[in-house]
Amino acid sequence: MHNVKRHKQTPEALAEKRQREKSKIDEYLALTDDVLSRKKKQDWSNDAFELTQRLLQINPEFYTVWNYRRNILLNGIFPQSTPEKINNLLSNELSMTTTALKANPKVYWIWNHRRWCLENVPDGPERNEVPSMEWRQANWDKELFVAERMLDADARNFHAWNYRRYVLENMPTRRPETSELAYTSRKIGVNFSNFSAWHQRSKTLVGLWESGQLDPIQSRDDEFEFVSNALYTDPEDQSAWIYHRWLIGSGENKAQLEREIQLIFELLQEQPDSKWCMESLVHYKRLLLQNHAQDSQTLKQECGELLSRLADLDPVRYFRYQDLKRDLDQ
Amino acid sequence: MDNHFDVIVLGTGLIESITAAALSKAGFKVAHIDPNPYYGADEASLSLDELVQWVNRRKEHDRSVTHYGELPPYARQYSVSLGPSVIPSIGPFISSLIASGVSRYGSFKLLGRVVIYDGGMLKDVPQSKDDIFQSKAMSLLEKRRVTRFLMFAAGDFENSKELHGQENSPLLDFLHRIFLLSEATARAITYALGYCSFIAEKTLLALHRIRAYLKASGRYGPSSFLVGYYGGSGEIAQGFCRAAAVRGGVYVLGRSVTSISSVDPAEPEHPVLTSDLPRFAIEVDDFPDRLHCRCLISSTSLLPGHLRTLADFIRPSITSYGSPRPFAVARCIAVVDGPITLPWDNEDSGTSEVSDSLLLVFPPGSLHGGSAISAVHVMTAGPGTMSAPSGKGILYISMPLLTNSVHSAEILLRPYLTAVLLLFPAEQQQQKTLICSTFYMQELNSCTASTSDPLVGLLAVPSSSPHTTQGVDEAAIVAEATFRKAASSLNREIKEMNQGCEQTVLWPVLAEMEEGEGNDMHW
Repeated sequence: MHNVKRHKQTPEALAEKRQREKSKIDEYLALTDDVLSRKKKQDWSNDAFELTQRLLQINPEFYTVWNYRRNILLNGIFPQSTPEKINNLLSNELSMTTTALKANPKVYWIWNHRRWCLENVPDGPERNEVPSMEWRQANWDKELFVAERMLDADARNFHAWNYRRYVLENMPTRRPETSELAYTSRKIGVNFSNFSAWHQRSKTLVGLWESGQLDPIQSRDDEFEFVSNALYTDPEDQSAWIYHRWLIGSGENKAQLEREIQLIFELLQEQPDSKWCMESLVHYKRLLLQNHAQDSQTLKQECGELLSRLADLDPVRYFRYQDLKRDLDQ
Repeated sequence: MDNHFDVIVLGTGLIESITAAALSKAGFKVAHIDPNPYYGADEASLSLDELVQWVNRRKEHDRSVTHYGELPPYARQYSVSLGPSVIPSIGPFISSLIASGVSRYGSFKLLGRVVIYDGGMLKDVPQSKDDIFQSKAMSLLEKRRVTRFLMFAAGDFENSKELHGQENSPLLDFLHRIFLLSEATARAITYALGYCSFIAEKTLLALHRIRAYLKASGRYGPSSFLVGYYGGSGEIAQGFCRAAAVRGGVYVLGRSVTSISSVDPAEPEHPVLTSDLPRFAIEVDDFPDRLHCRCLISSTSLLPGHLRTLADFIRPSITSYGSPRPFAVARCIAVVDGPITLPWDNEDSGTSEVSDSLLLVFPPGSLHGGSAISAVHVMTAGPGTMSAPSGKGILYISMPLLTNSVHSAEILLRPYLTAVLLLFPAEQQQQKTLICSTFYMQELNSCTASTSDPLVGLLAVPSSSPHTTQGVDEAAIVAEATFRKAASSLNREIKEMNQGCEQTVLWPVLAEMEEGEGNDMHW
């Protein structure tokens, strides 16, 4: 979890803990031996299936055993099952991994297993002898729900955001991107210090611009207004500045660039020690220089002054600012 | 019933009840008496029919109390509080609630929105950085300045350069001059973040309160405060009484104390060990025998005059975050039709459950016809806290007064009631329907000068502070001080008997479940 410190224990407490855990460790090692030897023998039985479950409950990060479990399903259990039974088995897998996810929200292999399950749901059930895709739809809908719960619990879990994108792209009936935009607005509103939410927003917007659902020029302006609230409320928050930089892009729009420079300049007046303001001003003024005002001595001078101030404020990066100054003079 | 107790407590108000529970759990034998047929005294939670009876009894000695309207059906499904308040999520009161186990007897939920009346309308009060980000009412520059103030207030401001020399200037001025906040924002912070009661309250004290509330936010959720179910305060006082009873405390409700006398040590009534000698004898209406105790704790109003001057008065401390103590509080309880929601909540389809426990602040001078000196708080309650049946709501209006007022509570508060009814939208109507209303003046016990030579074992406690957000914490602090004084006056004898007695602990570590307690887990 973000912002939750790890609890350090004393050496005595650790030693005690080790004693208590010894029997558990022995049991675990015996189970591991059993499972791995069965895997070698290509044991696809139900017994093996149960054993993998036990092992994975103790250690969900053991990806070899997840692989083995999938192989058991594919080679041992599915060939003997009806589509309906397969659907039930996979639903079961999904429930089991949901529980595992709650305790281990960042284990790649659990997310992986879920993807595999979803992709293997059979077409069905049959309605009038035609596969209706209802099983798939139901599972994908549930999946979106799970991803949303994970994000409610920790809105900065990039696994959950990645997964959310994957689910949205693969759902049989797609959700409109405008509702996704609204979702990111909600998440950002609750806590705007959230790289993943801003990132998702940027991807969603690109989709909406390309498909013509939103006018890129108006939308960009709306976004500038939206993010300026974050910049002014907390000028130290990186995620908002990075989003702002993405919006500016290569700085082709001169009016926009000048307007944003002015806005940031006013913020700097109000908060004279803001490093991000100064850095961004340097970056944006350089874009202005490169694209629209190649010879402006004023701009070069302003950048130079800002870089000096930055060097004072942030002496650890002194040489970087010197470097940038040198670039300006060329 | 054995008539000898270690402690007798008179009055079941919040302070007295916390003290009784602490003493009982510490192993002392406690008897707790209240002339009212209910717990909670001036903070009691009553059903509507009980409220009407209360009004009628009160009219016998106070003609300014007024009541209008018919009792609605299901009068018993209402729980109204005579002393409504909220509970800071971090503070001595909630710590006592949890450590004593009384939190398990009640249910609590977060306070919903806090709004301020400004320029004739209701406005949301930002409580956190994210509220500020989302606010549509502030300019970008204002957002920067407010966030900067919040960071300042949440940190170590005691030796800061901003505060230097300004500790006693009014908070409003401080915010305006040093943090360059607009008047509207400064008002919102002063009255709906710092909850100042009066105009020109001083900066340092208010900052302490603001910091405490900022830190409390996030413990259970976005709000810094909790509200109790079933009318809050009275239920909680009753909870503490229950805790005392579970440990053997004896309860007597609905009986008046007819006389209190000091026991002459030279003539004990019964042959007892000198260390158990009672100091006071109490006569209770309808009881054949007198009750004896070594320590008598009473709310000041229940002590007869001659004893009041002899008692050790537990001073309500102007703690590090105290507001000036009011002389009285004008109060109104109104029952209205329809769910209580803010005008803008109807548009917001995203929220799953909108709380009907709201706090609405009218800063001094904000309402035409209202007070120019006092901030008026309107608390709402409804089915969300089981305080009213579905489709109904309760409004509590309170105005703290620094001095005796020539006007009755009704005259002072009518303009506010009228304004609130217009502010909360009703379906197809201009304003909410008022079902019934009660107006009364709550007078707080004046701090009698503590005598230099108080009678040993006689402790007087003040009325609980009526401050909406700070009152319960003050009550907990006074109760703890009372407990310690009582324990030390009792232990003096025990110390003589067995050497090496350690300092009495306020709340002993809770056993998992004490005998006699039901399964009322609600957290």
